[in-house]
Amino acid sequence: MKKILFIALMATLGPFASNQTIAQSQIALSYSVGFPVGDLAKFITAASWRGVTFDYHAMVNQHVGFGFSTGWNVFYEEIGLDTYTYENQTLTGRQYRFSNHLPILFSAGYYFKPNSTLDPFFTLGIGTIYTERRTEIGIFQIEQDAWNFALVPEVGVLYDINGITIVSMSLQYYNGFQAGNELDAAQNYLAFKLGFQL
Amino acid sequence: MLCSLGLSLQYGCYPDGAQYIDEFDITYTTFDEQYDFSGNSTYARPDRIVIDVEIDRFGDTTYIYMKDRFAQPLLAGIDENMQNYGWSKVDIEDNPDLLLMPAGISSTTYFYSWWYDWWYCPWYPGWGWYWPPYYQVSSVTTGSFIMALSDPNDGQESPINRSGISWLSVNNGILTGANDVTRALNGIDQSFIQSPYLKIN
Repeated sequence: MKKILFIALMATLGPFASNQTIAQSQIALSYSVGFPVGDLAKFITAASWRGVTFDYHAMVNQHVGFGFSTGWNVFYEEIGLDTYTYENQTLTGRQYRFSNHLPILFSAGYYFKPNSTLDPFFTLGIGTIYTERRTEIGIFQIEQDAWNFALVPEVGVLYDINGITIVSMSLQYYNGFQAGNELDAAQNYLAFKLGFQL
Repeated sequence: MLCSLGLSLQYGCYPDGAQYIDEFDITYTTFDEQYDFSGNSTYARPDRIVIDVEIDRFGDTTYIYMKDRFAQPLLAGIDENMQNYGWSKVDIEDNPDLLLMPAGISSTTYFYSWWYDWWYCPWYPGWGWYWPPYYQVSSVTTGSFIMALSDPNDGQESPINRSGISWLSVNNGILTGANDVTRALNGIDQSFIQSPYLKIN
């Protein structure tokens, strides 16, 4: 139901977008589906259906823009009743695993065909991803976090539906390098983004 | 503003984790790696399960016990598991190898070891045991069910006449939220399943 509401809101906001603003800036609000990779995939195998991103580029010319990108993806998985043993201690319970990812990136973008119906683009974000990993079992929880240095490439396309509404689709790879002692591996995920240019 | 809307929607979709009371159930067990269970074969336990203590203004204590209709099935469950692992239940006056000490927690008052010091006193004068320092009392929530095995002979080797715990089981919260003991019995069973070192047969 919440997903439907989200999509409905996007559809409502879409018509307010205009080509006039695109000439000076690219602003996109997107729904983001995340797929865990590497160490994150070992912790949570399920895709994240809870994600939102906000991207802004101030255009220096028709093709090139600089700005920022941020968002929030939540990965979540319930692990059934299982038993864990560490040295002389054993614990049985249900695990609930969460991994929150908040990227804060400076971003540069290149738009290949700015006045076409289909406008492919490429962006590269550099910055940090705040990762908060949490494992809940019974009344106990283990929390680990890290500020990962991040390099985030993205390829996508803008589709101008009717001269007013522009849809954005892209694939973005969040590459959060290993940082700190709590999470001792890189935190990476691939995101499929579907949004609207505002 | 739109960014805030997006984040608000995202927050509204945030996963809940455990929602039902039994989803919080956990069974924790630990044991003394230096202790040799196989050298023993008998245990004794009280016929009641203590759940709280009342202390009046003069310092006198009154212990409160679990109702028999709940306590007896739990004690039977403990005996069944112990016997399946090869242990024989004996009376406390028959010099058991181990003492099995069950308790339900109905408040945050720390009463558990007092009661057992009192209960075993006539049989093991001056003997006692101590709560294991590696398991915080604050981690034991209301509704938890505890079982501990302690060797009274260990106290003779201790400068303070106190035995450590050879085995500890804590089932968090399994006595809450239901009018039957099924969850508690499952927790007792699980405690033994995950403690195969107790098996002596």
